Amino acid sequence: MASSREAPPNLPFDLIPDILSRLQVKFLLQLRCVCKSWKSLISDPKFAKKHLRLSTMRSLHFVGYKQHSLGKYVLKSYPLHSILKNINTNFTQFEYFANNFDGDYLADSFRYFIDSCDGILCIGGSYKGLVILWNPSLRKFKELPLFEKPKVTHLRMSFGFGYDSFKENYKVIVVLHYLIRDSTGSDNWVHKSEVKVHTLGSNIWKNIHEFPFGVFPVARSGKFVSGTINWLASRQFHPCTRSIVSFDLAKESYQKISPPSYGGVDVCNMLTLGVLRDCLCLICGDDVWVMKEYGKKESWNKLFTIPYMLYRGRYSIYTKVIYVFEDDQVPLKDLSDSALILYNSKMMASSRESRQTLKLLSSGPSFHSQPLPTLPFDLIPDILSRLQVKFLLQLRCVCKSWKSLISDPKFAKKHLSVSTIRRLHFVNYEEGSLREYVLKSYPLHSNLASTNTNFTRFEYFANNFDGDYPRDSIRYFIDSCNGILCIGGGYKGLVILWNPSLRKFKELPVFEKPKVSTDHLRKTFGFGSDSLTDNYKVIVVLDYFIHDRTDSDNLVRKSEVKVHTLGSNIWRNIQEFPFGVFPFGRSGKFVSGTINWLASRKFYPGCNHFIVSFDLAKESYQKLSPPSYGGANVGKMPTLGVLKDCLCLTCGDDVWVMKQYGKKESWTKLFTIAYERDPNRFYMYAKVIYVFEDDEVVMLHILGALGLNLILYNYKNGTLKSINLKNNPEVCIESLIWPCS
Amino acid sequence: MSSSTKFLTLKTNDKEEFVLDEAIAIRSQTIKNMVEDDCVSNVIPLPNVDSKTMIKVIEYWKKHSEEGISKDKLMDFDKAFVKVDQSILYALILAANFLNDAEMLDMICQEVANRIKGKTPEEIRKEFNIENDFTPEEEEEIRNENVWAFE
Repeated sequence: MASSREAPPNLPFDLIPDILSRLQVKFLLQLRCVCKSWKSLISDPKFAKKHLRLSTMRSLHFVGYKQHSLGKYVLKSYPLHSILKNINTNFTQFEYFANNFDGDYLADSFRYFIDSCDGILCIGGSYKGLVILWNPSLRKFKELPLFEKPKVTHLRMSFGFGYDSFKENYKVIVVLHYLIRDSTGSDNWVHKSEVKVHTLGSNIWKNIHEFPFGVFPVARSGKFVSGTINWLASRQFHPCTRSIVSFDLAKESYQKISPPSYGGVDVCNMLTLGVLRDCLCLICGDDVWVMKEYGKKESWNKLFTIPYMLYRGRYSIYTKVIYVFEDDQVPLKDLSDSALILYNSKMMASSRESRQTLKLLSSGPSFHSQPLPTLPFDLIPDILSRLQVKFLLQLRCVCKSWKSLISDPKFAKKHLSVSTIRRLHFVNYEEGSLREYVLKSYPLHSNLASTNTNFTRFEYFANNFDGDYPRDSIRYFIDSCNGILCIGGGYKGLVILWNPSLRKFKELPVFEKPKVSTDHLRKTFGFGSDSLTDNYKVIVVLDYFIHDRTDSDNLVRKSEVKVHTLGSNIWRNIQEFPFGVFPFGRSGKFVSGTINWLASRKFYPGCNHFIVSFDLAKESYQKLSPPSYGGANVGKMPTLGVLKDCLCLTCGDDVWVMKQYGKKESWTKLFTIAYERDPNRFYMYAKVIYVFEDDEVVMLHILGALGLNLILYNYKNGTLKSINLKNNPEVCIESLIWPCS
Repeated sequence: MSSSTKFLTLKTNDKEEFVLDEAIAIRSQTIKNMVEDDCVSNVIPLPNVDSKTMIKVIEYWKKHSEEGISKDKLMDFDKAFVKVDQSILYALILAANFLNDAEMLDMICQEVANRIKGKTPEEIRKEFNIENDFTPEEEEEIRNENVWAFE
């Protein structure tokens, strides 16, 4: 096979419309800039029709207005399928300022959708009778000229919008219905109507003959179907008997349409007209009827009955069916409280029709007429504190007050108190470049075992890392506290702070070390927050051997302890490590304001270990008792950790937690490690890294010859999963906290 | 004093009255303070809450005061409770804030936060009715401080 790809053959241009007509409008608007012929194709009305025939995308639209700004229309567009999933946040909001909306108006500024046709929504506004056309896919608006209204006080308007296939143009019709005195001086009122038609592109509303059959439309708009506008009409304003009057947009003539034979059902309920699956639809009481063949009385078909249960016993005025999905799900609008209900009418399965072409859009109800209130600013921290750090960093550019809020240390604390996102971190170095720290961050969740490719990699070049060093360049996490990781480096004792959520680093000043051979020097660190001064501190214990006199060969063990308070430039010497013991492990663990080390008289722990705790606020030491192991084998190395904010001690196969810090009797055995281990390997000691809510733990087992086993272990049901990460991890919570300037 | 149930009447800003068991109504810290300060005559006016919102609030209080209701059931209830239109959610958050019901406020704040996740700063300005008071240069500078966060 040839490796080079040949240019595809040129497609004949007459295939292009067939391909492009299947694409979304937004995308097509982008494609207008491909070339001149595509631009003129996409702008061609013939292509628009072809596209409409194939279009299946529908959205649900809502119209409202801005309070104090009646000229402003607020329009929202939701993908229709989104209501199936109950996600209604994914909407597009539009605003439109009406030009013809000059001057002060009555508070009556209701806006509503008259109808939709071929992807164009027609919006009515009641006072002045302003009509606006809107194609939400193209985001284009058009205000129609205003029509003249009869000078009467009792005026009702009903609109219709549709397509005249004869003239190949769109028309808007308005029926003005009013009461007028029959002759001067008489108190006799008579109903009258005026009907006006506006053909798009013209500048006028043409008067046509009045509404026929002695009836008047009862709703604010008629429904367009099969080239006609259809109204429910009655003799009076609020009647029981109703007929359907249809107006043919091409012939401009009226016709009477028979409603279904309700078959004895109570028809005193309000009726509503709509369009479902391109058929006229009539809802009478709880029955939903469709006229399968337009104009044929015998084709009225009961689609389904809305169960009484749907209203949960509330009084419902009337219902509108908005749309029927392929799977018989029906969004209903219950007008008693304007609730939008999604109802699956199983009964329809038997009367399913074959689908025909779909229109681009379907109009939606207009119950969104209240603008959203502005939330008081003191609620904003409550809301924002629940968001991820990365997202919050974006939100800094929303406005000045949000920026200062998100940068505020008080907000950082609030955010930390509700933060639940934790990640697992690993530190390493790049071979050949000892200055470079390689850091990886993995999401911490219980399917850690199966997917661990989704990590973020960071690199950091240490400034204080000048000169050539011995190969001893081990990096390790000292601890994490409030979203900040503290990293120690072996040779020079360089300490780096890192907030992985903010991606910020800070190198601490290097401390002075006793002048002893590195072979005789051990360091152990601690990192935590001092609640008294509201600051962070790093502590280092230097443990070394020194000749007791300059002329002696006798080595004695000594310790030096230094504390660095963040923001200062120094490491202060404090009193040496107490109780005649020395800490083991490269770091102590921070919990309840203290750093905790396991310590014993010897380098390696035997049975006589206990816990030395250092209070970061008081800078004083305390002795803590380990649990009473109750005869368990303590020959193995114990390890300290922190689980669920409690000090945790793993000894042998037992994992203990000190439920109340400092109280010996609160030591509780959490579980015993009981999984099967590889008999060919030597398991030195175990560390519990994290406990999930469901009793699953992340465990690290240190094997002989520095092998590591990182596993997910459920101690309740014994299941075991291996995590394919070969390093010593540190858990860190997401936070905005950064105490360094 | 007998241990019989005490009732309070709450009056919303659209003049609707709700008669409610005191034990339920004092889930609102605001009402609780009023009861404790003995400044309750017979009717507690709630000038910042309308009746439609109050119906929802009472529905929540009653559910959360049900005896022996399981945690799972409450969680399902809460989930369904916040599945409302944005305008109702906003009315609820304002009501919870005024009534000072920390538990309810917490839940609604979480829902509002969930709904703005992933939106652009522009969309959020719209959502919260915020005017962008940065100059384009200032905004660009803030974006450049954390370019990675916008990726």
